Amino acid sequence: MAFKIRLLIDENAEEEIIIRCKSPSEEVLRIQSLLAASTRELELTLGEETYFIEMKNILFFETVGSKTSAHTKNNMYYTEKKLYELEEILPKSFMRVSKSCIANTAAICSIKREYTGSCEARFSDTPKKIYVSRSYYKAFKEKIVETRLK
Amino acid sequence: MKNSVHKIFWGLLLLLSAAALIFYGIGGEAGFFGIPLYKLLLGLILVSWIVAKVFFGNTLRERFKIFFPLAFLFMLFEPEIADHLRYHGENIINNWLLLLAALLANIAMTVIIPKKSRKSYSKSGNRCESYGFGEYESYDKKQFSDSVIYIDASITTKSYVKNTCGETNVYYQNSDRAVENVVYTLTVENSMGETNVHVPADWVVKNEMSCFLGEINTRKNPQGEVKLIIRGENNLGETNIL
Repeated sequence: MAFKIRLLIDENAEEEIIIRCKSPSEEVLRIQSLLAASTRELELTLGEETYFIEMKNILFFETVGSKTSAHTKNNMYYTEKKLYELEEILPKSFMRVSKSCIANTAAICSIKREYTGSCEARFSDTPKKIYVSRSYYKAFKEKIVETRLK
Repeated sequence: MKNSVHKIFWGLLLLLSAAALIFYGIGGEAGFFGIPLYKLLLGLILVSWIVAKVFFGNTLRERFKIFFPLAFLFMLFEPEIADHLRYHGENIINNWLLLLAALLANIAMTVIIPKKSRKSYSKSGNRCESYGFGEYESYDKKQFSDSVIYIDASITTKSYVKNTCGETNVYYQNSDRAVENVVYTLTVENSMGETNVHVPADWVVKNEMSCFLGEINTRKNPQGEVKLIIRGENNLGETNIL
């Protein structure tokens, strides 16, 4: 489905994104949730400080003992939530890629299949990477293809 | 420099052993004291293995894991030993029985000498184990897989990483919040795999790892006091400090 995209610049206007459509189709709802997710923030901790990090800046979540760590390009934060709890609240761009990791597929810039069957996924502008396990690879690949233009 | 001399020496020894073996196989008769050269060279390697385990093994358990090299040494010099003992025939004991005996002896040592007592406690959610070098704040063991380990430098100062037959990359995170006036330690046990330790650029690293038939590559350090000490063993693998 093709969309017209217009950018209206008004110095006095409040920042707002309006989606005009005949009816809320699946594609329109998907765009709406993607836009909403990119501005939502998650409460994370580091030491004694609490941070509010935008979802789009989080690369992946990983279990570390009893806690869950959240990685951005340059830092590592923590959340008390478990991975299964995060799966329920995170936007659709986040998906489970192994027993101990949920990755933001929108932030992945490259994937490389290893001969062992696992897959190495890298993120832009950071040396951080994760490994997608064999059992999650098929769903992961479908997700990547679905969200990218070929 | 010391590391590269060490590597070259062992590499050349193994090459010479291979050449001597082929030479013997095609009918060559090089040797000393009536013993073929390839046996002397392989014997030297096995004796070095045993000496390294007995005198430089990290734990008591490691020091007693010498039964297989002893068995191979016996098998190598069996005809000479039989001749010396005036034994009838070249074969004193069946090789399979000897290997089985070595296996049972190894298992026996594992049973008799237990592993160091483990104290596990949770600090920042990481499972920890004591290993005789002190208590660790993070412990990660990876086998036969490619993996990445992220160590939070703001809370974890003593870490342990074990990598067997795979590739493991270790990254230090939150280094801008590193604990002041503390020297970090990382113990790495790398066997038949590759471990890459990515250290923050402004950290000064001191390498105290031992290496057996492998390679340890270190990077150039910036000026300053030592911030991270890397200890442990690298056996038949490659450890890169980047």
